[in-house]
Amino acid sequence: MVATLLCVTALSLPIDAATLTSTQQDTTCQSSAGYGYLSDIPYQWQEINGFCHWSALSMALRHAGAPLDLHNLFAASGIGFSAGYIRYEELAVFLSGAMLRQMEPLPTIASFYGLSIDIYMDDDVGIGTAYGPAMVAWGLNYTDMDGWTDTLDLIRTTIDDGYPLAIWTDPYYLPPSDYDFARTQGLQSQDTGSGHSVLCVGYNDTAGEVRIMDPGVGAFGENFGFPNDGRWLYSVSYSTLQNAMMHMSYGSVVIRTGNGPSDDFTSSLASYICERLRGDRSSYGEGLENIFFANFGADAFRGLSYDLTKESIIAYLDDVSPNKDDRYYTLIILGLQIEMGITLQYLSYRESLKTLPRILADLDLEAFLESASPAVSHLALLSENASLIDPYYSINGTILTQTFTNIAALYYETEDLEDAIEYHEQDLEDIRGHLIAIADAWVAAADTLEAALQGTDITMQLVVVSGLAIVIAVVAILYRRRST
Amino acid sequence: MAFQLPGSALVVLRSLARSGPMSPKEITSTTKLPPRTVSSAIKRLSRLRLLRRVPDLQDMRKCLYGPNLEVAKEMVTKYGSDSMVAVQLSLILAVR
Repeated sequence: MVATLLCVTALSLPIDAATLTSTQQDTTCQSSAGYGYLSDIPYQWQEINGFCHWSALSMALRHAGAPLDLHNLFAASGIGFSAGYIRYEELAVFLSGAMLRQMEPLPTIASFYGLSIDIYMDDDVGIGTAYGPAMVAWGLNYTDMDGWTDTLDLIRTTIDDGYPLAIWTDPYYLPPSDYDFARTQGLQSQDTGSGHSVLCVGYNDTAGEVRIMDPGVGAFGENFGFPNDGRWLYSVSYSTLQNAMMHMSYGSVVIRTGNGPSDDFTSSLASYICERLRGDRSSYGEGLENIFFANFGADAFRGLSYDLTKESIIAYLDDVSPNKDDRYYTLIILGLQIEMGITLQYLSYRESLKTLPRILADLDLEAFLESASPAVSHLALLSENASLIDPYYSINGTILTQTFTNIAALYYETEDLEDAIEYHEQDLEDIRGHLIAIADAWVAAADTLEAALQGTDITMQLVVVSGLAIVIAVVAILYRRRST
Repeated sequence: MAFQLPGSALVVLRSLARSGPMSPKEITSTTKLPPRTVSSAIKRLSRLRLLRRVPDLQDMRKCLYGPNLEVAKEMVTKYGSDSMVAVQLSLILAVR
Protein backbone atom coordinates (compact mmCIF):
# COMPACT_ATOMS: atom_id res chain seq x y z
CA MET A 1 0.00 0.00 0.00
CA VAL A 2 1.31 3.41 -0.84
CA ALA A 3 0.98 5.82 2.03
CA THR A 4 1.35 9.40 0.95
CA LEU A 5 2.95 11.74 3.43
CA LEU A 6 2.54 15.45 3.67
CA CYS A 7 5.90 17.01 2.99
CA VAL A 8 7.39 20.44 2.85
CA THR A 9 7.54 22.30 -0.39
CA ALA A 10 10.23 24.84 -1.02
CA LEU A 11 8.29 28.01 -1.45
CA SER A 12 9.16 30.78 -3.81
CA LEU A 13 9.12 33.49 -1.21
CA PRO A 14 10.80 36.84 -0.82
CA ILE A 15 14.03 36.54 1.04
CA ASP A 16 13.47 38.62 4.14
CA ALA A 17 13.10 36.81 7.40
CA ALA A 18 9.58 38.00 7.93
CA THR A 19 8.43 35.68 5.18
CA LEU A 20 10.07 32.54 6.50
CA THR A 21 7.65 29.82 7.27
CA SER A 22 7.66 26.37 8.69
CA THR A 23 4.21 25.67 7.39
CA GLN A 24 4.02 22.43 5.52
CA GLN A 25 2.61 22.71 2.04
CA ASP A 26 1.46 20.45 -0.76
CA THR A 27 2.25 16.84 -1.22
CA THR A 28 5.65 16.25 -2.70
CA CYS A 29 6.80 13.12 -0.94
CA GLN A 30 5.65 9.62 -1.63
CA SER A 31 6.59 6.97 0.82
CA SER A 32 5.70 3.43 1.72
CA ALA A 33 7.43 0.52 3.33
CA GLY A 34 10.50 0.12 1.19
CA TYR A 35 10.09 3.23 -0.95
CA GLY A 36 10.30 6.97 -0.49
CA TYR A 37 10.97 9.88 -2.81
CA LEU A 38 10.95 13.64 -2.25
CA SER A 39 10.13 15.45 -5.44
CA ASP A 40 10.04 19.18 -6.12
CA ILE A 41 13.15 20.03 -4.14
CA PRO A 42 14.72 22.99 -5.97
CA TYR A 43 18.11 22.12 -7.42
CA GLN A 44 21.08 24.22 -6.37
CA TRP A 45 24.20 24.07 -8.53
CA GLN A 46 27.34 24.74 -6.49
CA GLU A 47 28.79 26.98 -9.24
CA ILE A 48 32.40 26.10 -8.53
CA ASN A 49 34.48 23.51 -6.73
CA GLY A 50 34.36 24.29 -3.02
CA PHE A 51 30.70 25.08 -2.40
CA CYS A 52 29.19 21.57 -2.37
CA HIS A 53 28.44 21.46 1.36
CA TRP A 54 26.55 24.74 1.31
CA SER A 55 24.76 23.93 -1.93
CA ALA A 56 23.48 20.61 -0.57
CA LEU A 57 22.40 22.39 2.61
CA SER A 58 20.74 25.15 0.59
CA MET A 59 18.49 22.55 -1.04
CA ALA A 60 17.68 21.03 2.35
CA LEU A 61 17.05 24.46 3.89
CA ARG A 62 14.68 25.50 1.14
CA HIS A 63 12.84 22.23 1.53
CA ALA A 64 12.51 22.97 5.26
CA GLY A 65 10.94 26.35 4.51
CA ALA A 66 13.92 28.74 4.69
CA PRO A 67 14.15 30.43 1.27
CA LEU A 68 17.93 30.43 1.12
CA ASP A 69 19.51 29.79 -2.24
CA LEU A 70 23.30 29.56 -2.26
CA HIS A 71 23.92 33.31 -2.46
CA ASN A 72 21.41 34.08 0.27
CA LEU A 73 22.92 31.35 2.40
CA PHE A 74 26.36 32.93 2.05
CA ALA A 75 24.96 36.02 3.78
CA ALA A 76 22.41 34.49 6.13
CA SER A 77 24.88 31.97 7.56
CA GLY A 78 27.64 34.54 7.87
CA ILE A 79 30.07 32.38 5.86
CA GLY A 80 30.51 35.10 3.22
CA PHE A 81 31.75 37.33 6.03
CA SER A 82 33.96 34.68 7.67
CA ALA A 83 37.55 33.63 7.03
CA GLY A 84 40.36 31.80 8.78
CA TYR A 85 44.12 31.55 8.50
CA ILE A 86 46.13 28.84 10.22
CA ARG A 87 49.92 28.74 10.35
CA TYR A 88 51.31 25.90 12.42
CA GLU A 89 54.44 23.88 11.73
CA GLU A 90 54.01 22.40 8.21
CA LEU A 91 50.58 23.97 7.84
CA ALA A 92 49.92 27.34 6.26
CA VAL A 93 46.39 27.55 4.98
CA PHE A 94 43.90 30.30 4.26
CA LEU A 95 40.35 29.04 4.65
CA SER A 96 37.42 30.89 3.18
CA GLY A 97 34.29 31.06 5.31
CA ALA A 98 32.72 28.36 3.14
CA MET A 99 35.53 25.95 3.97
CA LEU A 100 36.21 26.87 7.57
CA ARG A 101 34.90 24.19 9.95
CA GLN A 102 31.86 23.59 7.82
CA MET A 103 29.67 22.18 10.60
CA GLU A 104 30.31 25.06 12.98
CA PRO A 105 27.77 27.56 11.57
CA LEU A 106 24.94 24.99 11.57
CA PRO A 107 23.64 25.62 15.12
CA THR A 108 23.70 29.35 14.39
CA ILE A 109 21.66 28.92 11.21
CA ALA A 110 19.25 26.65 13.09
CA SER A 111 18.87 29.27 15.78
CA PHE A 112 18.32 32.19 13.37
CA TYR A 113 15.75 30.37 11.27
CA GLY A 114 14.12 28.30 13.96
CA LEU A 115 15.07 25.01 12.35
CA SER A 116 16.34 21.75 13.73
CA ILE A 117 19.70 20.79 12.21
CA ASP A 118 21.14 17.41 13.17
CA ILE A 119 24.52 15.90 12.28
CA TYR A 120 25.01 12.13 12.06
CA MET A 121 28.24 10.18 11.63
CA ASP A 122 30.02 7.03 12.72
CA ASP A 123 33.02 8.16 14.76
CA ASP A 124 34.63 4.72 14.56
CA VAL A 125 35.35 4.81 10.82
CA GLY A 126 37.14 6.99 8.29
CA ILE A 127 37.34 10.69 8.94
CA GLY A 128 34.95 10.26 11.88
CA THR A 129 37.79 9.01 14.08
CA ALA A 130 39.36 12.47 13.87
CA TYR A 131 36.25 14.50 13.14
CA GLY A 132 34.27 13.14 16.11
CA PRO A 133 36.68 14.36 18.81
CA ALA A 134 37.08 17.65 16.92
CA MET A 135 33.31 18.18 16.89
CA VAL A 136 33.21 17.54 20.64
CA ALA A 137 36.02 20.05 21.13
CA TRP A 138 34.09 22.60 19.09
CA GLY A 139 31.00 22.01 21.21
CA LEU A 140 29.03 20.51 18.31
CA ASN A 141 26.64 17.67 18.98
CA TYR A 142 26.23 14.73 16.63
CA THR A 143 24.49 11.39 16.69
CA ASP A 144 26.94 8.51 16.59
CA MET A 145 25.90 6.03 13.89
CA ASP A 146 26.66 2.33 13.88
CA GLY A 147 27.93 1.69 10.37
CA TRP A 148 26.07 1.29 7.10
CA THR A 149 22.98 -0.57 8.33
CA ASP A 150 22.24 2.17 10.83
CA THR A 151 22.86 4.80 8.15
CA LEU A 152 20.51 3.14 5.66
CA ASP A 153 17.84 3.00 8.35
CA LEU A 154 18.37 6.72 8.96
CA ILE A 155 17.97 7.42 5.23
CA ARG A 156 14.71 5.46 5.16
CA THR A 157 13.16 7.01 8.27
CA THR A 158 14.28 10.56 7.41
CA ILE A 159 12.84 10.41 3.91
CA ASP A 160 9.69 8.76 5.24
CA ASP A 161 9.41 11.75 7.59
CA GLY A 162 9.62 14.05 4.58
CA TYR A 163 13.20 15.34 4.80
CA PRO A 164 16.23 14.89 2.53
CA LEU A 165 19.73 14.19 3.87
CA ALA A 166 22.89 16.06 2.90
CA ILE A 167 25.31 13.13 2.84
CA TRP A 168 29.10 13.07 2.76
CA THR A 169 30.53 10.95 -0.02
CA ASP A 170 33.71 10.00 -1.82
CA PRO A 171 33.10 11.18 -5.42
CA TYR A 172 35.29 8.31 -6.65
CA TYR A 173 32.19 6.11 -6.30
CA LEU A 174 29.60 8.50 -7.74
CA PRO A 175 28.49 7.64 -11.28
CA PRO A 176 28.60 10.99 -13.19
CA SER A 177 31.41 11.23 -15.70
CA ASP A 178 32.49 14.42 -13.93
CA TYR A 179 34.19 12.18 -11.39
CA ASP A 180 36.04 10.06 -13.93
CA PHE A 181 39.14 12.10 -13.12
CA ALA A 182 39.14 10.61 -9.62
CA ARG A 183 38.80 7.08 -11.00
CA THR A 184 41.42 7.68 -13.69
CA GLN A 185 43.87 9.10 -11.18
CA GLY A 186 42.97 6.56 -8.50
CA LEU A 187 42.14 9.37 -6.10
CA GLN A 188 39.92 8.32 -3.22
CA SER A 189 38.93 10.28 -0.15
CA GLN A 190 41.24 8.22 2.02
CA ASP A 191 44.14 9.60 -0.07
CA THR A 192 42.93 13.15 -0.49
CA GLY A 193 41.27 13.71 2.88
CA SER A 194 38.36 15.36 1.13
CA GLY A 195 34.86 14.40 0.10
CA HIS A 196 31.78 15.64 -1.66
CA SER A 197 28.39 16.57 -0.22
CA VAL A 198 25.25 15.57 -2.14
CA LEU A 199 21.55 15.47 -1.27
CA CYS A 200 19.82 12.12 -0.83
CA VAL A 201 16.16 12.54 -1.76
CA GLY A 202 14.86 9.01 -2.12
CA TYR A 203 15.33 5.29 -1.57
CA ASN A 204 13.94 2.14 -3.06
CA ASP A 205 14.47 -1.14 -1.23
CA THR A 206 13.21 -3.20 -4.16
CA ALA A 207 15.75 -1.73 -6.56
CA GLY A 208 18.30 -1.36 -3.78
CA GLU A 209 18.98 2.24 -4.78
CA VAL A 210 18.98 5.77 -3.43
CA ARG A 211 18.16 8.87 -5.43
CA ILE A 212 20.73 11.67 -5.39
CA MET A 213 20.69 15.39 -6.27
CA ASP A 214 24.31 16.33 -6.90
CA PRO A 215 25.29 20.02 -6.74
CA GLY A 216 28.80 19.32 -8.00
CA VAL A 217 28.43 18.09 -11.58
CA GLY A 218 29.78 20.67 -14.03
CA ALA A 219 31.57 22.55 -11.24
CA PHE A 220 35.06 21.64 -12.41
CA GLY A 221 36.96 20.09 -15.27
CA GLU A 222 37.13 21.11 -18.91
CA ASN A 223 33.34 20.85 -19.36
CA PHE A 224 32.65 23.40 -16.68
CA GLY A 225 29.10 24.77 -16.74
CA PHE A 226 25.59 24.32 -15.41
CA PRO A 227 24.46 20.72 -15.99
CA ASN A 228 21.59 21.49 -18.36
CA ASP A 229 21.49 17.83 -19.36
CA GLY A 230 19.99 16.92 -15.98
CA ARG A 231 22.82 14.63 -14.92
CA TRP A 232 22.64 16.16 -11.44
CA LEU A 233 19.81 13.72 -10.61
CA TYR A 234 20.76 10.06 -10.54
CA SER A 235 20.45 6.76 -8.70
CA VAL A 236 23.15 4.90 -6.82
CA SER A 237 22.97 1.33 -5.57
CA TYR A 238 23.05 0.73 -1.83
CA SER A 239 26.39 -1.05 -2.09
CA THR A 240 27.95 1.81 -4.08
CA LEU A 241 26.62 4.38 -1.61
CA GLN A 242 28.00 2.33 1.25
CA ASN A 243 31.44 2.48 -0.38
CA ALA A 244 31.01 6.18 -1.11
CA MET A 245 30.05 7.02 2.47
CA MET A 246 32.34 4.65 4.38
CA HIS A 247 35.51 6.74 4.53
CA MET A 248 33.39 9.83 5.05
CA SER A 249 32.19 8.18 8.29
CA TYR A 250 28.64 7.73 6.94
CA GLY A 251 28.17 11.42 7.68
CA SER A 252 24.97 13.30 6.99
CA VAL A 253 23.11 16.46 7.95
CA VAL A 254 19.33 16.63 8.26
CA ILE A 255 17.39 19.90 8.44
CA ARG A 256 13.91 19.70 9.88
CA THR A 257 11.29 22.38 10.36
CA GLY A 258 11.06 24.02 13.76
CA ASN A 259 9.44 27.03 15.37
CA GLY A 260 10.32 29.56 12.68
CA PRO A 261 12.72 32.52 12.79
CA SER A 262 13.70 33.94 16.14
CA ASP A 263 12.09 37.21 17.22
CA ASP A 264 15.43 38.99 17.27
CA PHE A 265 16.51 37.71 13.85
CA THR A 266 17.79 41.04 12.54
CA SER A 267 19.88 41.99 15.55
CA SER A 268 21.15 38.43 16.03
CA LEU A 269 22.31 38.05 12.43
CA ALA A 270 23.77 41.56 12.21
CA SER A 271 25.68 41.10 15.48
CA TYR A 272 26.92 37.71 14.32
CA ILE A 273 28.17 39.17 11.02
CA CYS A 274 30.00 41.93 12.93
CA GLU A 275 31.75 39.29 15.04
CA ARG A 276 32.69 37.25 11.97
CA LEU A 277 34.06 40.25 10.07
CA ARG A 278 36.16 41.38 13.01
CA GLY A 279 37.41 37.86 13.73
CA ASP A 280 35.97 37.52 17.22
CA ARG A 281 37.56 34.31 18.47
CA SER A 282 34.67 33.38 20.73
CA SER A 283 32.33 33.63 17.76
CA TYR A 284 34.54 31.33 15.70
CA GLY A 285 34.66 28.84 18.55
CA GLU A 286 34.94 28.90 22.29
CA GLY A 287 38.32 27.62 23.33
CA LEU A 288 40.04 29.20 20.34
CA GLU A 289 40.65 32.47 22.18
CA ASN A 290 44.24 31.61 23.08
CA ILE A 291 45.26 29.60 20.04
CA PHE A 292 47.90 31.87 18.62
CA PHE A 293 48.35 30.12 15.30
CA ALA A 294 44.73 30.61 14.15
CA ASN A 295 43.34 33.96 13.05
CA PHE A 296 39.85 34.75 11.89
CA GLY A 297 37.87 37.37 10.02
CA ALA A 298 39.87 40.53 9.27
CA ASP A 299 42.73 39.07 11.30
CA ALA A 300 42.94 36.12 8.90
CA PHE A 301 43.91 38.49 6.08
CA ARG A 302 46.21 40.44 8.39
CA GLY A 303 47.86 37.27 9.70
CA LEU A 304 48.40 35.99 6.18
CA SER A 305 49.96 39.29 5.14
CA TYR A 306 52.36 39.14 8.10
CA ASP A 307 53.48 35.69 6.97
CA LEU A 308 54.22 36.77 3.40
CA THR A 309 57.59 38.23 4.34
CA LYS A 310 61.02 36.84 3.59
CA GLU A 311 61.62 35.70 7.16
CA SER A 312 58.24 34.02 7.52
CA ILE A 313 58.39 32.25 4.16
CA ILE A 314 61.85 30.88 4.95
CA ALA A 315 60.72 29.77 8.41
CA TYR A 316 57.73 28.03 6.85
CA LEU A 317 59.84 26.18 4.28
CA ASP A 318 62.28 25.19 7.04
CA ASP A 319 59.31 23.60 8.83
CA VAL A 320 58.28 21.74 5.67
CA SER A 321 61.51 20.24 4.34
CA PRO A 322 65.19 20.91 3.61
CA ASN A 323 64.77 19.14 0.24
CA LYS A 324 65.02 21.45 -2.78
CA ASP A 325 62.26 19.76 -4.79
CA ASP A 326 59.88 19.74 -1.83
CA ARG A 327 60.49 23.40 -1.15
CA TYR A 328 60.03 24.25 -4.84
CA TYR A 329 56.61 22.54 -5.02
CA THR A 330 55.58 23.84 -1.60
CA LEU A 331 56.12 27.39 -2.79
CA ILE A 332 54.01 26.88 -5.91
CA ILE A 333 51.23 25.07 -4.07
CA LEU A 334 51.22 27.69 -1.30
CA GLY A 335 50.45 30.41 -3.85
CA LEU A 336 47.86 28.20 -5.49
CA GLN A 337 46.08 27.29 -2.27
CA ILE A 338 45.93 30.89 -1.10
CA GLU A 339 44.51 31.83 -4.51
CA MET A 340 41.86 29.09 -4.25
CA GLY A 341 40.83 30.18 -0.75
CA ILE A 342 40.69 33.84 -1.72
CA THR A 343 38.67 33.02 -4.85
CA LEU A 344 36.02 31.22 -2.79
CA GLN A 345 36.04 34.12 -0.34
CA TYR A 346 35.67 36.63 -3.16
CA LEU A 347 32.63 34.88 -4.59
CA SER A 348 30.88 34.32 -1.26
CA TYR A 349 31.67 37.81 0.08
CA ARG A 350 30.59 39.58 -3.11
CA GLU A 351 27.28 37.69 -3.28
CA SER A 352 26.70 38.22 0.45
CA LEU A 353 26.96 41.98 -0.03
CA LYS A 354 24.37 41.74 -2.80
CA THR A 355 21.88 39.67 -0.82
CA LEU A 356 22.25 41.01 2.72
CA PRO A 357 20.13 44.17 2.18
CA ARG A 358 17.15 41.96 1.38
CA ILE A 359 17.78 39.68 4.35
CA LEU A 360 18.27 42.55 6.79
CA ALA A 361 15.61 44.71 5.20
CA ASP A 362 14.94 46.46 8.52
CA LEU A 363 18.38 48.05 8.56
CA ASP A 364 19.78 50.92 6.54
CA LEU A 365 22.87 49.24 5.07
CA GLU A 366 24.04 52.04 2.80
CA ALA A 367 27.03 52.98 4.98
CA PHE A 368 27.83 49.32 5.57
CA LEU A 369 27.91 48.56 1.85
CA GLU A 370 30.05 51.61 1.20
CA SER A 371 32.66 50.56 3.74
CA ALA A 372 32.50 46.85 2.86
CA SER A 373 32.74 47.24 -0.93
CA PRO A 374 36.44 48.18 -1.27
CA ALA A 375 37.35 44.66 -0.17
CA VAL A 376 35.63 43.25 -3.26
CA SER A 377 38.09 44.74 -5.75
CA HIS A 378 41.11 43.63 -3.69
CA LEU A 379 39.70 40.11 -3.39
CA ALA A 380 39.03 40.11 -7.14
CA LEU A 381 42.66 40.95 -7.90
CA LEU A 382 43.78 37.88 -5.94
CA SER A 383 41.12 35.59 -7.45
CA GLU A 384 41.39 33.50 -10.58
CA ASN A 385 38.80 32.06 -12.93
CA ALA A 386 40.20 28.58 -13.37
CA SER A 387 42.35 27.67 -10.36
CA LEU A 388 39.50 25.90 -8.59
CA ILE A 389 38.58 23.81 -11.61
CA ASP A 390 42.07 23.05 -12.91
CA PRO A 391 45.12 24.69 -11.36
CA TYR A 392 47.35 23.29 -14.09
CA TYR A 393 45.33 25.29 -16.62
CA SER A 394 45.21 28.48 -14.60
CA ILE A 395 48.69 28.66 -13.14
CA ASN A 396 50.09 32.19 -12.95
CA GLY A 397 46.66 33.72 -13.35
CA THR A 398 47.08 36.24 -10.52
CA ILE A 399 49.86 38.11 -8.79
CA LEU A 400 49.67 35.44 -6.08
CA THR A 401 50.52 32.45 -8.22
CA GLN A 402 52.81 34.48 -10.46
CA THR A 403 54.88 35.63 -7.50
CA PHE A 404 55.17 32.25 -5.81
CA THR A 405 55.92 30.48 -9.10
CA ASN A 406 58.58 33.06 -9.89
CA ILE A 407 60.17 32.74 -6.45
CA ALA A 408 60.10 28.95 -6.79
CA ALA A 409 61.68 29.04 -10.24
CA LEU A 410 64.47 31.40 -9.17
CA TYR A 411 65.11 29.38 -6.04
CA TYR A 412 65.28 26.17 -8.09
CA GLU A 413 67.79 27.77 -10.42
CA THR A 414 70.02 29.48 -7.86
CA GLU A 415 69.31 27.44 -4.71
CA ASP A 416 69.39 30.75 -2.85
CA LEU A 417 65.99 31.10 -1.23
CA GLU A 418 66.72 34.40 0.46
CA ASP A 419 67.81 36.01 -2.79
CA ALA A 420 64.84 34.56 -4.69
CA ILE A 421 62.39 36.06 -2.22
CA GLU A 422 64.19 39.40 -2.03
CA TYR A 423 64.11 39.65 -5.82
CA HIS A 424 60.30 39.50 -5.69
CA GLU A 425 59.85 41.64 -2.59
CA GLN A 426 57.86 44.30 -4.46
CA ASP A 427 55.33 41.70 -5.61
CA LEU A 428 55.01 40.35 -2.08
CA GLU A 429 54.50 43.87 -0.81
CA ASP A 430 51.71 44.38 -3.35
CA ILE A 431 50.02 41.17 -2.17
CA ARG A 432 50.35 42.22 1.46
CA GLY A 433 48.82 45.58 0.54
CA HIS A 434 45.75 43.89 -0.92
CA LEU A 435 45.35 41.68 2.15
CA ILE A 436 45.64 44.59 4.58
CA ALA A 437 43.14 46.60 2.53
CA ILE A 438 40.67 43.70 2.76
CA ALA A 439 41.20 43.46 6.52
CA ASP A 440 40.66 47.20 6.95
CA ALA A 441 37.46 47.08 4.87
CA TRP A 442 36.14 44.18 6.95
CA VAL A 443 36.70 46.04 10.21
CA ALA A 444 35.13 49.21 8.79
CA ALA A 445 32.19 47.14 7.55
CA ALA A 446 31.68 45.65 11.02
CA ASP A 447 31.76 49.12 12.58
CA THR A 448 29.17 50.53 10.17
CA LEU A 449 26.93 47.48 10.48
CA GLU A 450 27.05 47.83 14.24
CA ALA A 451 26.18 51.50 13.91
CA ALA A 452 23.27 50.65 11.62
CA LEU A 453 22.03 48.17 14.19
CA GLN A 454 22.30 50.66 17.04
CA GLY A 455 20.45 53.24 14.99
CA THR A 456 17.48 50.96 14.57
CA ASP A 457 14.55 50.73 16.88
CA ILE A 458 14.99 47.24 18.24
CA THR A 459 11.45 47.11 19.52
CA MET A 460 10.24 47.62 15.96
CA GLN A 461 12.32 44.65 14.86
CA LEU A 462 10.67 42.51 17.48
CA VAL A 463 7.35 43.34 15.95
CA VAL A 464 8.40 43.02 12.34
CA VAL A 465 10.36 39.81 12.19
CA SER A 466 8.62 36.96 12.66
CA GLY A 467 26.95 24.63 6.08
CA LEU A 468 32.87 19.97 2.59
CA ALA A 469 34.89 21.03 -0.71
CA ILE A 470 35.74 18.88 -1.77
CA VAL A 471 38.09 18.72 -4.55
CA ILE A 472 40.45 21.43 -3.45
CA ALA A 473 42.87 18.96 -1.92
CA VAL A 474 42.57 16.87 -5.05
CA VAL A 475 43.53 19.64 -7.42
CA ALA A 476 46.71 20.34 -5.52
CA ILE A 477 47.63 16.66 -5.72
CA LEU A 478 46.78 16.54 -9.40
CA TYR A 479 48.88 19.61 -10.04
CA ARG A 480 51.95 18.01 -8.52
CA ARG A 481 51.36 14.68 -10.24
CA ARG A 482 51.03 16.31 -13.64
CA SER A 483 54.08 18.44 -13.07
CA THR A 484 56.37 15.60 -12.10
CA MET B 1 40.65 16.29 -48.42
CA ALA B 2 42.93 16.46 -45.42
CA PHE B 3 41.34 17.50 -42.15
CA GLN B 4 41.85 21.14 -41.31
CA LEU B 5 40.22 23.84 -39.25
CA PRO B 6 38.17 26.53 -41.02
CA GLY B 7 39.47 30.10 -41.04
CA SER B 8 36.96 31.47 -38.50
CA ALA B 9 37.84 28.71 -35.99
CA LEU B 10 41.52 29.54 -36.43
CA VAL B 11 40.88 33.24 -35.80
CA VAL B 12 38.94 32.45 -32.63
CA LEU B 13 41.58 30.00 -31.40
CA ARG B 14 44.36 32.47 -32.10
CA SER B 15 42.63 35.27 -30.18
CA LEU B 16 42.12 32.96 -27.19
CA ALA B 17 45.74 31.83 -27.33
CA ARG B 18 46.89 35.45 -27.28
CA SER B 19 44.43 36.97 -24.80
CA GLY B 20 43.51 34.08 -22.52
CA PRO B 21 40.00 32.87 -21.70
CA MET B 22 37.22 35.11 -23.04
CA SER B 23 33.45 35.18 -23.31
CA PRO B 24 31.82 34.88 -26.75
CA LYS B 25 31.05 38.61 -26.59
CA GLU B 26 34.69 39.43 -25.90
CA ILE B 27 35.81 37.13 -28.71
CA THR B 28 33.46 38.94 -31.09
CA SER B 29 34.84 42.28 -30.01
CA THR B 30 38.47 41.14 -30.26
CA THR B 31 38.24 39.31 -33.58
CA LYS B 32 35.68 41.60 -35.25
CA LEU B 33 33.92 38.48 -36.51
CA PRO B 34 30.10 38.46 -36.57
CA PRO B 35 28.55 36.95 -33.39
CA ARG B 36 27.01 34.06 -35.35
CA THR B 37 30.37 33.20 -36.87
CA VAL B 38 31.99 33.24 -33.43
CA SER B 39 29.19 31.08 -32.03
CA SER B 40 29.58 28.59 -34.84
CA ALA B 41 33.38 28.52 -34.44
CA ILE B 42 33.02 27.91 -30.69
CA LYS B 43 30.65 25.01 -31.37
CA ARG B 44 33.02 23.47 -33.90
CA LEU B 45 36.09 23.88 -31.65
CA SER B 46 34.15 22.56 -28.64
CA ARG B 47 33.11 19.45 -30.56
CA LEU B 48 36.78 18.82 -31.26
CA ARG B 49 37.52 19.51 -27.54
CA LEU B 50 39.98 22.20 -28.62
CA LEU B 51 38.23 24.61 -26.27
CA ARG B 52 37.64 24.23 -22.59
CA ARG B 53 35.17 26.07 -20.46
CA VAL B 54 36.36 28.20 -17.57
CA PRO B 55 34.24 29.94 -14.91
CA ASP B 56 33.51 33.62 -15.33
CA LEU B 57 33.93 34.82 -11.77
CA GLN B 58 32.11 38.03 -12.64
CA ASP B 59 28.98 36.10 -13.55
CA MET B 60 28.83 32.46 -12.53
CA ARG B 61 25.86 31.83 -14.83
CA LYS B 62 28.20 32.29 -17.78
CA CYS B 63 31.53 30.81 -18.73
CA LEU B 64 34.64 31.76 -20.63
CA TYR B 65 36.41 29.75 -23.32
CA GLY B 66 40.11 29.01 -23.49
CA PRO B 67 42.31 26.85 -25.72
CA ASN B 68 42.74 23.23 -24.67
CA LEU B 69 46.45 22.73 -25.27
CA GLU B 70 46.46 19.10 -24.15
CA VAL B 71 43.90 18.13 -26.77
CA ALA B 72 45.75 20.20 -29.36
CA LYS B 73 48.91 18.20 -28.61
CA GLU B 74 46.95 14.95 -28.88
CA MET B 75 45.65 16.03 -32.30
CA VAL B 76 49.14 16.84 -33.52
CA THR B 77 50.24 13.37 -32.45
CA LYS B 78 47.17 11.71 -33.94
CA TYR B 79 47.30 13.38 -37.36
CA GLY B 80 51.08 13.65 -37.62
CA SER B 81 53.21 16.76 -37.40
CA ASP B 82 53.15 17.29 -41.17
CA SER B 83 49.35 17.21 -41.41
CA MET B 84 47.45 20.39 -42.20
CA VAL B 85 45.72 20.55 -38.82
CA ALA B 86 49.02 19.98 -36.99
CA VAL B 87 50.61 22.84 -38.88
CA GLN B 88 47.64 25.07 -38.07
CA LEU B 89 47.72 24.21 -34.37
CA SER B 90 51.49 24.51 -34.16
CA LEU B 91 51.39 27.98 -35.63
CA ILE B 92 48.60 29.20 -33.38
CA LEU B 93 49.20 27.43 -30.11
CA ALA B 94 52.91 26.62 -30.38
CA VAL B 95 52.18 22.95 -29.72
CA ARG B 96 54.15 20.22 -31.41
